[in-house]
Amino acid sequence: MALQADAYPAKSPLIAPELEEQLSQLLARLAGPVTMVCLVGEDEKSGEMAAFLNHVAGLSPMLSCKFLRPGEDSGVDGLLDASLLPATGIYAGEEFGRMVFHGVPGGKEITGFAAALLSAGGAAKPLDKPTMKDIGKIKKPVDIRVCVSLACHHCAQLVASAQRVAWENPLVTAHMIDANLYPDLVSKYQIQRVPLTVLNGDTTVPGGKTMAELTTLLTKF
Amino acid sequence: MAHMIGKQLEPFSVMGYHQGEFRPFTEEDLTGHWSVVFFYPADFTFVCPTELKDLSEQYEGFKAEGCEIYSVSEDTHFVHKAWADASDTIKAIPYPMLGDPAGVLARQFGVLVEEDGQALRGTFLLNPEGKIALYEIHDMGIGRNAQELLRKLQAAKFVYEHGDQVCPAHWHPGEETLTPSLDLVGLL
Repeated sequence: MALQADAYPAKSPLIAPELEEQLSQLLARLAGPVTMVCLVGEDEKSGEMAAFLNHVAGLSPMLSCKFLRPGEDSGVDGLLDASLLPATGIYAGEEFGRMVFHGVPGGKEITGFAAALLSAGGAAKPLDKPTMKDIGKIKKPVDIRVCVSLACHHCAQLVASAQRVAWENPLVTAHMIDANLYPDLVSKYQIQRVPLTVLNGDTTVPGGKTMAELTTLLTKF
Repeated sequence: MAHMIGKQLEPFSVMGYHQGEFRPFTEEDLTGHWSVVFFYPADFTFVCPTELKDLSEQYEGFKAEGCEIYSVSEDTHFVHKAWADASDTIKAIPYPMLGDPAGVLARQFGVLVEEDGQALRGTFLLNPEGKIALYEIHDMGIGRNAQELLRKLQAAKFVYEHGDQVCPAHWHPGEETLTPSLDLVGLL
């Protein structure tokens, strides 16, 4: 049985009044229901993320959140990757939007998180035709994992772009990973600089990318 | 005072001592790969051997990054040899030791103290095109750290090869989550 949202605080200290106002204005644009599904553990960051999601969900009637323990739903465990908790997937209603956040999207990463909500809620800025055409050229399944630090502005832009590509192309899934929370990952990929993008688990690509650079990379991958 | 980042290595010719041999070195020896030019005041002093030994101990790491080290003082190559003959530490140095008695290199890199005829403790990292990627200049008594220099070399190589669209990551497990700042609103 899913955890009840009221098992966690309704407000997060991460969302200050000024940010709450900015987010409220953005989220007022949501045209459809968005569900934030979060796999939570017993750890401190999972509790922090749950409070964060509760707070965000309270900013728009279009938003809701759902908390699960790993093992409760193997399908969700697989989609969101239960090995990196907390893991939050953004759903358009009941449909998985292929945009996932591991950790708490604080610092610069709030931008990508807000962008993902707008995409799933049918309220993202339209992309120009050439960009949509490029995204459509990605013909193979790609799992994009952008390893970030929360203070990195290059990372935030790349995460937002990757998740927009994922939203627009059903072959693509994009994960934001706050690498600081996952030392095994840092060790595995020897991450000394961010962003570091991992494609399908084995190809690493360092550095920030524009949307055009990213789509070029993914179409040639 | 103008900085030297990006400054192109100028032509020069000096004699050097390298593991028992004398040979000339020119700007061509220092291009086509990463180079560290490591100035120190003089042979037969006390702080210098510790710095040069520190570099020797990290030498394999520099070679693994495709980087050669050139130590330079205002002594002749003959004095370098005499120092190597007198000191096991210096004899074991694996990188070339350049002699710069005319101050050609020290002037080019802006580290010559004219009245003393000695060089300040200047370290310069040159990219494969012979351009200065980073440098530090210490006053005479302040030593340097070869391990930190190796880390800087790795960072400079990364930026050279991948551009500067990255942020250094300093992992501190248990850090508090950064307060969110919605500063890319234009994207939304």
